[in-house]
Amino acid sequence: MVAEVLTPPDEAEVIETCGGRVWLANGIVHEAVDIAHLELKHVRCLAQGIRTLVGDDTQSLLLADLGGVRSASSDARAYSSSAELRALVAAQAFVVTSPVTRVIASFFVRVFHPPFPVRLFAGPDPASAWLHGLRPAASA
Amino acid sequence: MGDPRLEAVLNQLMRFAGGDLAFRGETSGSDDELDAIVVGLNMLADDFLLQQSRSRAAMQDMADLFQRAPVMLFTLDITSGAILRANGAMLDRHGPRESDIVGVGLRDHVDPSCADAFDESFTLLRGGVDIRGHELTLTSHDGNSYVALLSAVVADDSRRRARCTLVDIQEHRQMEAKLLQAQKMEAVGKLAGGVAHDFNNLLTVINNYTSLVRMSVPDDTEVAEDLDCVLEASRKAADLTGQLLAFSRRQVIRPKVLQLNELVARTHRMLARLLGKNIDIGLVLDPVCWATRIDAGQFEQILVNLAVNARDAMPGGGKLMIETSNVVLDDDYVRTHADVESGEYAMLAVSDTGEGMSPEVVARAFEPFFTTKPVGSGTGLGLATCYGIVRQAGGHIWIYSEVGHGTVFKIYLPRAGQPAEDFPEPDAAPPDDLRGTETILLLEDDEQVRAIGARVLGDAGYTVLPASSGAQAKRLFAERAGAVDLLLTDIVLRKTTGHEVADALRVDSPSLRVIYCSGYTDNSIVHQGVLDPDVDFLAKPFLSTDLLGAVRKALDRNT
Repeated sequence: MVAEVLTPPDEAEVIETCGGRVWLANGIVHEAVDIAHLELKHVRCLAQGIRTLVGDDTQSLLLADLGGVRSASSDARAYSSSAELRALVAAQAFVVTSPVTRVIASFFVRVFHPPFPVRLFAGPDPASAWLHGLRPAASA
Repeated sequence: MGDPRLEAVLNQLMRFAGGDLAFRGETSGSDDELDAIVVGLNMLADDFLLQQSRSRAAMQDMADLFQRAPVMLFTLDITSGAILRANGAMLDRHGPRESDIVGVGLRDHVDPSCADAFDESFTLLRGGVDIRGHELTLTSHDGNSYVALLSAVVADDSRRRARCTLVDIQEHRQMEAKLLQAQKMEAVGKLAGGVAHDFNNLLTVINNYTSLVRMSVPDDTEVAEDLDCVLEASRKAADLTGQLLAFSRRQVIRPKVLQLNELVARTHRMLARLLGKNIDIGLVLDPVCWATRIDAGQFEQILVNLAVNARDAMPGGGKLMIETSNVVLDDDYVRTHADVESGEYAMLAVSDTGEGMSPEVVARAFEPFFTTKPVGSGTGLGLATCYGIVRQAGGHIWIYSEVGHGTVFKIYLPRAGQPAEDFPEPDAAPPDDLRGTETILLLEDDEQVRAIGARVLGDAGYTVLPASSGAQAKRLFAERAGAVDLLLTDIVLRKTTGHEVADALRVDSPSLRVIYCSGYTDNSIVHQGVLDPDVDFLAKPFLSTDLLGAVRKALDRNT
């Protein structure tokens, strides 16, 4: 098991969901996914966590750490690139620290073509920097 | 043997290659490149199966849609013109077996009258040009011709196939023709109604002045005979305007809920006299036939007109059948007949064994002044009148005729939602003494009608206050506070209506008697030709005796 690289700061409000934890830091929504086999229900839980955090009508910059994921179902990947998610996510950065998470994230990007900008990063800092660079176009 | 994890990955690949996409490799948990390959292969298999199942569902949907679509769908080889594949609707129309269609040229199903048009369309297709809505007449496997719109798209993958649709517009065309006919009848009806309205005022003047002059001339003089001729011509003219009003649905009527069978029974004896001994009359009456709301006099007019028509179609004798029954017109019927609403109807069918009518004659049968009878033998208003009466009653009339075999008219009258009322009593005879001394406020904006009305009433002893407008009538009424016994008013006035004036006067004199008079029905007391209950109405053109009788009756009524 590869350790998660994203950890919430002490002062952050952390939403625990069935798919992992979600919190807001530096204007970016962070999610640490700690489910080995990611299914649709987990992705829905994470989306609901984002809504709880920033509301229904805000498109967020999203930084996702897939550290704990070992596989992802088609349904889960399809939902992650759906119009429903488009309403919540302005842009998404993945932190991928292992070959497995890189393959999973790549499949998501190349097969399901999410309707918002997505990039893969080896660590959280360049990911945050890229998301901050998009800030003028995003609202949170 | 090499690395067992590598062997496992190779094994997974071989199983996929063998079609076993349900197999999933297991990761070691070391999260290295080999695990990543296994996860990737697993996801590829997931996605492939998902896409495969979606494709199968989509193909099944398309196959179902193709097969069950109500429109004729087929593919065409644009080199040979042969049909390659056809759906159920196409088989229903041009099959019934697939071998009747597949491999057969589409041209073989095209009516010869349309062969050139089809060739032009097909030439375009051969040139790779899509076609849209080309009208063709085709012949179906049962030998019936129908009009359809052919559209075809040349397949992108090959220039040799086209995907085609044929939309049957036969019913649409028939409905279009019927609608046009209905619109024409409506327009002619409005024209006829307007003409009749103006003529009624003129006839009122002609009738009454002629009557006045006639009364001043001894019976045994040549002038008296001449005047009688004028009066007779005027009466015939009034009949004509009455028929025109009936056709244009502006005849004033007093409909009641009546049993169709009773109406037929009451007219039957008169028909026997009218038709003569050469024509047998058969009655097939449904004993539980529904009641309908209609004016009894108008119904009699329908039956008489149809019977006379039948008699003229059977100069050597024959049989006239009158049938009644209950009918439910459903949405299918409504779809193919213009201006008909679905629902329950009491049906009257009148059929004869006469010479019948050609389709061209049937198409124009209800037009006013259209007649196939020799000049002078018919006005061409009989069937037009029937049409107007039935439409005014909310019903529908339909003809079926075959030359040499006879004609059947079917009249559908809406079922009344209540039980039949008592049959209307005939109008009471006018009072013996038509004279009087009461004061009558006469409101009429046609100067000549007002003048003759005042003269007739004045000659009969009444005090007449003539008024040409609502304002003048109100002023005269106020000046003679309490002295006016009756208001006789035209309904349609230039700036107001007789109804409004009567209402205003009745504020001060609630018991004021009122007679409304009109040659027209689009107004406040007559709705779609139906009189409000308890309204005294005098139809134009009227004779002096009609006028005096109506006035006396209204004045003598106790309430």
